Amino acid sequence: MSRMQKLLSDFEYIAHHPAQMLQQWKAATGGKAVGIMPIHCAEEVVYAAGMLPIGMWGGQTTISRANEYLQAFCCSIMKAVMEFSLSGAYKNLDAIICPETCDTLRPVPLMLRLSDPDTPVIGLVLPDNRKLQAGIEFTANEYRNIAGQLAKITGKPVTDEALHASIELYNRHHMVMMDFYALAAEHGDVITPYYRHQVVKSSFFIPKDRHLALVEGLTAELRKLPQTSEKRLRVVVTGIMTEPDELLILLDEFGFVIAADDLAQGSRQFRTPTPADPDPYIRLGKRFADFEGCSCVSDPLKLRGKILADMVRTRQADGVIVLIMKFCDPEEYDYPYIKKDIEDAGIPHLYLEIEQQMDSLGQCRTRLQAFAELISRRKWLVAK
Amino acid sequence: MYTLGIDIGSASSKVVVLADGQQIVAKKVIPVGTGTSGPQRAFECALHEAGLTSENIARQVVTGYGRMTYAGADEQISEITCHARGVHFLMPKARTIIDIGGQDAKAISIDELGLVVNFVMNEKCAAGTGRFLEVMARVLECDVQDLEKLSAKADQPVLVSSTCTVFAESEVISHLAAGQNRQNIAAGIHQSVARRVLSLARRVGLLPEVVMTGGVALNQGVVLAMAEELKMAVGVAPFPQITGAIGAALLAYEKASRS
Repeated sequence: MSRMQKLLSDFEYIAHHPAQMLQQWKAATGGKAVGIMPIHCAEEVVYAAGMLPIGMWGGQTTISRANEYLQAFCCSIMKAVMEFSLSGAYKNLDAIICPETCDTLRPVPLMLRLSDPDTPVIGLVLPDNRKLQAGIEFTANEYRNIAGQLAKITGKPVTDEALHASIELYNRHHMVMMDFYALAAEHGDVITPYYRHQVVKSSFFIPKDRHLALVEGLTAELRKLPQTSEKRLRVVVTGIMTEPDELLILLDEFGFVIAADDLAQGSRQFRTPTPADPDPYIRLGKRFADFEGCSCVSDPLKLRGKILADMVRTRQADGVIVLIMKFCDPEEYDYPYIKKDIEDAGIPHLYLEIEQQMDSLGQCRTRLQAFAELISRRKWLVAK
Repeated sequence: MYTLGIDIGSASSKVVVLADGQQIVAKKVIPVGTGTSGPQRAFECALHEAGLTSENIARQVVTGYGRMTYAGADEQISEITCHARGVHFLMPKARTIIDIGGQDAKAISIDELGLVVNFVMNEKCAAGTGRFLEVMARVLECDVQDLEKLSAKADQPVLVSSTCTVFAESEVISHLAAGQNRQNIAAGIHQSVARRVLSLARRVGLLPEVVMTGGVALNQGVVLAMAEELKMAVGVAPFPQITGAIGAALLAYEKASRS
């Protein structure tokens, strides 16, 4: 097995075995772990507390008991989270941080406390007026509160020095991830959409320093290879996530390469560096102020569509695939705006409704195939 | 050169044989679709009608829901691309295609070359499709084909407001129980289909000429309801059930003649 294959295999294993990764880390370090609910939560505070942040992005399960807590018109990610909580899958977590990302997530802390009273759930409220000085300070105070709650669990305070060091590590990690994205776009035959996702998803289940080293190893190997994306159809994907795995395999089957992404479980985690400031909590507040382009973050200028159009131009993409997670209201509300900006820029796009658990992908197959035919015929016409 | 297009849907199988990419020499529709004997029967009947054997066919393209499991085609192409190509062949001025089949509804925006510009399909919901009309026909105790005759005699369409087929069925039963006549209910059902499908179609933009295809386009009641809702002329493609198969046969011809 080549080093590249070994690395990809490792990423795949980590991404598919979060519970095992957590167990191994706890056994090795004796440390405590904190579940992080989507979308925007500065894991740096958890890392600075000496704890392991573990992403809680749902997963593959049969939804049964979650319907006791959640309405039918609720996103499949939250249904999976509740199902896992009720089945005891989160028993090994010492706390959960839950941001008020959307109307569905707003009552989730209460539901988690009801389903598992032994695991503390810490709420995180991120402000709409995030760019005002008062907003930055509000965000900073939310993270100070989280640090205080975590200190009660570990018995040790979170120092400013530890948080600064954590922020620097995460900044380096995020730069390496953006570098990986750029390389992945040019090596589509090796970094297929499936493997691209495994690299991203695995970042939520192991310490960032370990993940950073693995990704640097991968990018070093990629740099040795010739580029292989010339015959592929380059797309920007936007939405919450690209799951299930079968969807990713379909993208590869129709010859797509992901030239860039605007995914909540993707570049929205990595593309905004944390700026400098003497106060590490203010740094986190400033990052949230600087961030742009998420349906769950106040965006009064509606910049997301223009960000997508710029991504298409910068990465020389042929089109955009808008992955709408079924019942995700924020993403649906954004769609008319991004549709207009993409169409005004003359960029073809596909609206594709997905769920995290999909037994039958026949409808996705038809739509993806039609979109692949659409953009390849246009490319042929332009080339002619 | 003879090419063949086969469109295997959920509710029907359609085959077209084309001569030199220009002339339809055979067409066949069998009212059962994927997973049945329909595709094979449609294939054999069309060849028989054309006086040909499978050896005479230079290239075969399959499309539709059942394209993935059909062995025998040289290529499978999505029904979106095939419908666009087929409608453009029949009606070169068409720019918006509204295709309503047994279980799906789609709107396709095409350009002057018949290339797809954009498309949108119904998401996991049979409201506004042929299945919706079948359910309603059962409640009104008539054949699906008779719905247009019923609605033609309506004087005041009854509002059918539920978007869900199942709840709309309950609503229609309530209207019947309240003494509403079948003609006005049929007209209300057609309006409901038009509203549902047009809310989808408006996402791709509705540029004239607007053309309907698919089995439901044979229902003049739905076509008239569409035109009234759109305040725009709505045409029906000749042979509306087989536009996908025509497009598939054309795409087969394009590739065969290039090689």
